[in-house]
Amino acid sequence: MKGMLLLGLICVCVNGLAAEEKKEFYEPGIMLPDDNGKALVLRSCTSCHTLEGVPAYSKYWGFEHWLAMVDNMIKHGAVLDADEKIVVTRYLSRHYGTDKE
Amino acid sequence: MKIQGSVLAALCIASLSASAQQAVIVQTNSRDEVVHLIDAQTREIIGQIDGIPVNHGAAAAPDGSELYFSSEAKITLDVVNAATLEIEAEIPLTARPNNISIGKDGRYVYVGIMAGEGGIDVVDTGAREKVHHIDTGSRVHNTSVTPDGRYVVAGTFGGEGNLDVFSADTWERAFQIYPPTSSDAMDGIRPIAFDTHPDGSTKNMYVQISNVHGFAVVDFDTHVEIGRVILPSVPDDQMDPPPYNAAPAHGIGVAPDQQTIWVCSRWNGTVYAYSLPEMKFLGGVKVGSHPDWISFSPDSRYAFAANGASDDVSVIDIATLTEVERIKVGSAPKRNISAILAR
Repeated sequence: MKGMLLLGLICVCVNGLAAEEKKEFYEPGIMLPDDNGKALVLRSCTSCHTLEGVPAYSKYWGFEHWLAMVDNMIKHGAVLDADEKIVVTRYLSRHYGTDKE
Repeated sequence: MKIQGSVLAALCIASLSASAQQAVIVQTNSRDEVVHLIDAQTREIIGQIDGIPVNHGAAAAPDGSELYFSSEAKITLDVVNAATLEIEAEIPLTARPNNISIGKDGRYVYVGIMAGEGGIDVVDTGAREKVHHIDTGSRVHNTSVTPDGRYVVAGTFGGEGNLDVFSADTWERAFQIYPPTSSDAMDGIRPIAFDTHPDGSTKNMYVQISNVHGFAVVDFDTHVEIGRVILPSVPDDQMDPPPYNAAPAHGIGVAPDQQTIWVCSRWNGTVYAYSLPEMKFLGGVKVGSHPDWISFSPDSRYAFAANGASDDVSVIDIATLTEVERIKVGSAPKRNISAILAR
């Protein structure tokens, strides 16, 4: 049985890793309000993904939640220094969170 | 007369039992607050659960009485009564969750924690509270319980091994494979499917890996990768648009009859089928955009592929490898499960 499986695998296995085809920036997919931090959000977030999922958190997340998310995104490769991280977090919590002004 | 009465009573009970159970596909919608229930035979939406924002993972109690969902926005595991479709409990979690699974006896739900220090939250479904946290040393994307119920399997990012297996009895690590191959934070293990030996024990794991357009086959007993299948490629102008989030192939499942394995290609907007155990290529079925997850009707007649970018579910006739229906659901449908609900 294992021999059959291996034979099948040899037949269909033509190459190994596939490189991610990345755009430089993705369309955000939502209209971002003009405010301090918008450019940073566009630069740091849309290099990997759209922003269509962001509004779903609006009724639930404040600054601390968004800070945890931004920290997680930095682990995933977002490039932000310490000051920029705070600016992005404030922007998200103000416009897509419970810290609306 | 007495015998007739007994027979009638038995028939009534049998009839009630038959009508009280319903095979459904539970479809999450990752950018939405609603979850949809699709009848696995009629392929119609028969119910909707509200109030679970950014719902990620789904699981069903073995007796069909309850459903469980992780909410990334509320950072909770929500318990839903399967008959009323009302949320009965919102159980706080350690940090933002991803996918979930449930043990074979239904006592514990295993919640992958993606934010903070990661790990797996263990929720007691009877007490309706988190009772344990498994420290994996990694961010956990998906959890699975092996078909025999003996192990909890995590697909992770970071840490020392991205396919991390724990005893379901002791929650101690059994083994760990696939160390990260780069410093890329998205380097890790994605969805995992299983098949079984005749005695019900786990035979192989079918493992999707970041940046691999296909899957690996891992012998569960020896923990060794015994092969790798790469999905067909298509011309660039026929590919689905990015982003692919480092997962060109995301979503994999073994049909309940264990005759076929089905694999979602985000790159190609296609679901591919292979025979088991021969792993013979059977063909591909063009579906909606960015197929992300796949589940099956209990009779292995239909496969249901959730299309994350076109907000619909493709119903595939397994025998003919054709898409027979496309069902509009919520925003960004991803994880789905097959469940028998008590309704």
